[in-house]
Amino acid sequence: MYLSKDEEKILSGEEGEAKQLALKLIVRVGEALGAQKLIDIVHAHISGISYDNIGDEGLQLIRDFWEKGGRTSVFSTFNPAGISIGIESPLNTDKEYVKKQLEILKYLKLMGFKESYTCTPYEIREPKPYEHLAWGESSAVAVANTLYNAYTNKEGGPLALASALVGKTYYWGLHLEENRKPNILVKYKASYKLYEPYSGLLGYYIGKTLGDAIPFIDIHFPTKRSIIDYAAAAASTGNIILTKTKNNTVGRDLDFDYMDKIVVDDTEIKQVLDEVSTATIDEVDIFFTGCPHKTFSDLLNLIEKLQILHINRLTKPIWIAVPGTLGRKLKKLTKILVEKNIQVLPGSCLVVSRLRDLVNAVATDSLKTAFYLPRRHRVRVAITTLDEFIKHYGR
Amino acid sequence: MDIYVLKLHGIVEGVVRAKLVVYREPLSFYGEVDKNTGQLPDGRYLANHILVLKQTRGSTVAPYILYGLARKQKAPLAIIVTKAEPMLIAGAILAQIPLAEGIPTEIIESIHDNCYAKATIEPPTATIEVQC
Repeated sequence: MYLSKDEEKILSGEEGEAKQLALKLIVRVGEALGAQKLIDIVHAHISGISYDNIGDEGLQLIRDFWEKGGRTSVFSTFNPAGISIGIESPLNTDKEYVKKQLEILKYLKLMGFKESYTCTPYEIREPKPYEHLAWGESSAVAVANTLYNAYTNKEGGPLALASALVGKTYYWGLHLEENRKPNILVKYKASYKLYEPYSGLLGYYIGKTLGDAIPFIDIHFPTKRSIIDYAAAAASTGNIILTKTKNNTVGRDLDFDYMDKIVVDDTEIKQVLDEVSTATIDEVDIFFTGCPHKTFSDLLNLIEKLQILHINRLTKPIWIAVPGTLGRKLKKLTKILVEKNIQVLPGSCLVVSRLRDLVNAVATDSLKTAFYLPRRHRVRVAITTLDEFIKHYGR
Repeated sequence: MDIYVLKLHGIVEGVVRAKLVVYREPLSFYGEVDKNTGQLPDGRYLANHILVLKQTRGSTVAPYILYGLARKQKAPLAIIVTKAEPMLIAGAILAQIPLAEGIPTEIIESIHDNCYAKATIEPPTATIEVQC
């Protein structure tokens, strides 16, 4: 691999042990994959910071980087944690667990990471087209490439951390324009409009069926959220981290004749719905939304919706995950949230938390959640919309 | 006795001699391998063995799992794959687990857990001698 003089200096340890170790990791992975050089990035986002996921060894690794002098050299953010940030939450139970999680967060902040606690780093800093990033969270990677046309591969937790410290990644994969061309045409012929949960159902099907591809889907997604839900699902069930659509591509530039084609009809969407539905709406304990994280406006819209419908209280709660940066802002809403039976999870989510014994079945509009909850927590799932749940449990 | 001598692409260095664990499905270190014991979904253990498989499924948490297993001495002594993906490579480098890629899938079909191997990995080359 070609290295600049500055990069050689880092590798020889002139800029400290942490940067040396970080660059060594990036160079070795890059060389193994056949990358010819490194590229500067403008934003690193790391996944794998939940204590439930990475355990004592992950904590140790992050602490090692800090103790060796690791400091971020580009704008850097991190994923949701295994606990809620800033307010009481039903997830914060085991004291030792909370202590270890806070320790992980402490070292990240000391290294210069922005306190973000979110899987939607694009809400904190919108990527510009053609910018190079090193992001870890798979749904965010898919959104960066698909919605913003920024350039990032899916980086393993420690690799994105290494990129945060040196501001570089290996020039490989989706960082090269020639690797970003679609290679399969998806004809969407289903009758469902792509709002929640149907955009997620489409993503679930595409990821599961195509596994590792760059699809072109011959539709316009109607909203930003519909692209986010699609991308998060497709990056969970498969390795789909870039999708071309009519939103981001001029169709006449593509040569469809040489592409394989698949058709998605109502049958395929129903097939996914059947596969993921393991509970009915009557059996669930909660409704969960916010995977990927919802925004503060989404939360205000939910409260407003309940007010307009004259719903005093939900007989079963809605849990909504939002970025951890909203912790303080949420305090003002405490009274109404308690009154309506809404539980906010700032800076966390159900997938990366300890759910055991808390719930048996969850209703959700998130297909990423529907993919992970049964696998990680043996929790059953019902796919519903927020409106359906409110209608069912609003009094 | 069958003997195979394979010339592969070496990624993480090391010389290891051990019995094989041959896994024929795609494997995710996150969720499918027990992060405390190194047990595979089918009940076998990775510790003290050379893991041979076609491919891993890459969760971004996978490198931490491999690193954790290595610190608990529950990780495989070496990993030989058909195609290495970035998450596996990062995990093997961090955990200092010798790693080589390029083992043909037909060889994976014909070897089994009663085989022994000597893996000599000196990136970018690797020599794997398998005795069954």
